Amino acid sequence: MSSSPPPSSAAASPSCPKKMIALRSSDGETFEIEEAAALQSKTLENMIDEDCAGTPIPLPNVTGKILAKVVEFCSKHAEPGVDDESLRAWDAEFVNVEQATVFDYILAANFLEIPTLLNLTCNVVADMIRGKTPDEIRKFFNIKSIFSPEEEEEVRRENHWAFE
Amino acid sequence: MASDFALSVPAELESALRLKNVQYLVTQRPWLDLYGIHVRPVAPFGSVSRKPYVDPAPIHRCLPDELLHEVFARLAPYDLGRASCVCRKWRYSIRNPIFWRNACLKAWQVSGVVENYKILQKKYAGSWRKMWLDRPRVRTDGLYVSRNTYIRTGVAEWTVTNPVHLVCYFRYIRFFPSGRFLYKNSSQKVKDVAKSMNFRASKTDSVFGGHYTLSDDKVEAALLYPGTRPTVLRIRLRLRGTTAGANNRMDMLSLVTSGVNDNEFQGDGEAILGVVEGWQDDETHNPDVPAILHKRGLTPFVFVPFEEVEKSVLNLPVDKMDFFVPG
Repeated sequence: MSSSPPPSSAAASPSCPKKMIALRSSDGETFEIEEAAALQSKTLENMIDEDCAGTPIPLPNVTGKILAKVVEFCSKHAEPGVDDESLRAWDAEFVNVEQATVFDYILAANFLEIPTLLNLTCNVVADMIRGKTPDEIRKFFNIKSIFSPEEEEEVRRENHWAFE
Repeated sequence: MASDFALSVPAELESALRLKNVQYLVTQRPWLDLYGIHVRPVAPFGSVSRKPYVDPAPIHRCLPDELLHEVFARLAPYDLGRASCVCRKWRYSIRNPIFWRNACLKAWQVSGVVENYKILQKKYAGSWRKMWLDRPRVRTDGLYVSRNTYIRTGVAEWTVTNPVHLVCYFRYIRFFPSGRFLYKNSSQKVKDVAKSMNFRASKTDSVFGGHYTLSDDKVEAALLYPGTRPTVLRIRLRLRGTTAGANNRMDMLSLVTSGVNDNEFQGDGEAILGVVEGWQDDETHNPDVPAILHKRGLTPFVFVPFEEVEKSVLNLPVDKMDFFVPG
């Protein structure tokens, strides 16, 4: 189905086809993204408004692999006519990846200032922490606990209420 | 060493006393404590020879502190408490007062933001975390359950005859931060009831809703049983906990059913607390419904968080657990 032209940007004229923005990742790969999708990122929105979107925008903090997925996310969320239920299911599938990738998504979402992606990924990590005992959390994230025995006891006493 | 105080000692102990006065010279040899300890030289912080410390956890390598903060901001206070025990970095990050301020403002939202700030300065020396731990609050992430039992004479059924039956019934209360609560009195177990304790419960679930107020550690709750003879149930409870900040026990101070006048009560729930405020225990405003101060079934409430509903000991049938003593 054809998507309607982007509503807000002053640079795009309504009659010409969808404007594509080019992005270059840190390892030199180029990706194209529709303007409407790019506007989800505040960083990109600022760059587009300043009209430096002629040449590919360099994004030194994001690798090609992650940028591809971020472009996919923004395009999906910019699509009109997708109902909440299926979007949520799509989101759940999107973050069904291993830990390191989720952390990379968070970093990319923070750098590109995409509030929806940041919210989604932080919630995913919060879900990983929720409901686990401290030992389980340590094992899951491979965190080495360097508490001395006295400190361990003090911490336990301090937070005893959370276990009751 | 000679003792400093004079004691009158009976004659039999004279010989023992002589032993006390013998002095043994013990030379101090503090270096003996150093034997057997392996000491590895650690280079000072800026030194070139210090091996770079690589944190084994990917979450710490990837995420900067402010993004970890974002993740923690989405956790409930009890999860934050548990996360605080994981490692030193998390413990100190979670000490940030922002988390505890949000938790406190949400838990005591009925008082309002300004009032909460005032109480913070007056009683808790500006520490939100202290307020969270010390100020009594009703927990909203589970159910308060009171398990009551009584004995009734047995009935002969076919070949089985029990001289007595131990009957067990529960009172369930679920509080919401907005000032409303739900109440159910039933013999069903916790794991079956937990699903139906919400505002979408149907009439057959016999879940009743009302309003409550919290002042210090006293909870005053009132609900109206719907029906042709409006009966109001007033419960007074006192909050306490097994440890600071746990708030997982409530003692029943009084449980009264009485009647309201049709005129006093029009329409909706919130007003019921105002109507029954200050009523005596035996007061009733409807002659058809006598005021009854219930004397039985007042076991203290124990808090069961939702995630423990399935495995709580309260699910055990009466033959496996006849006594349950709340702490």
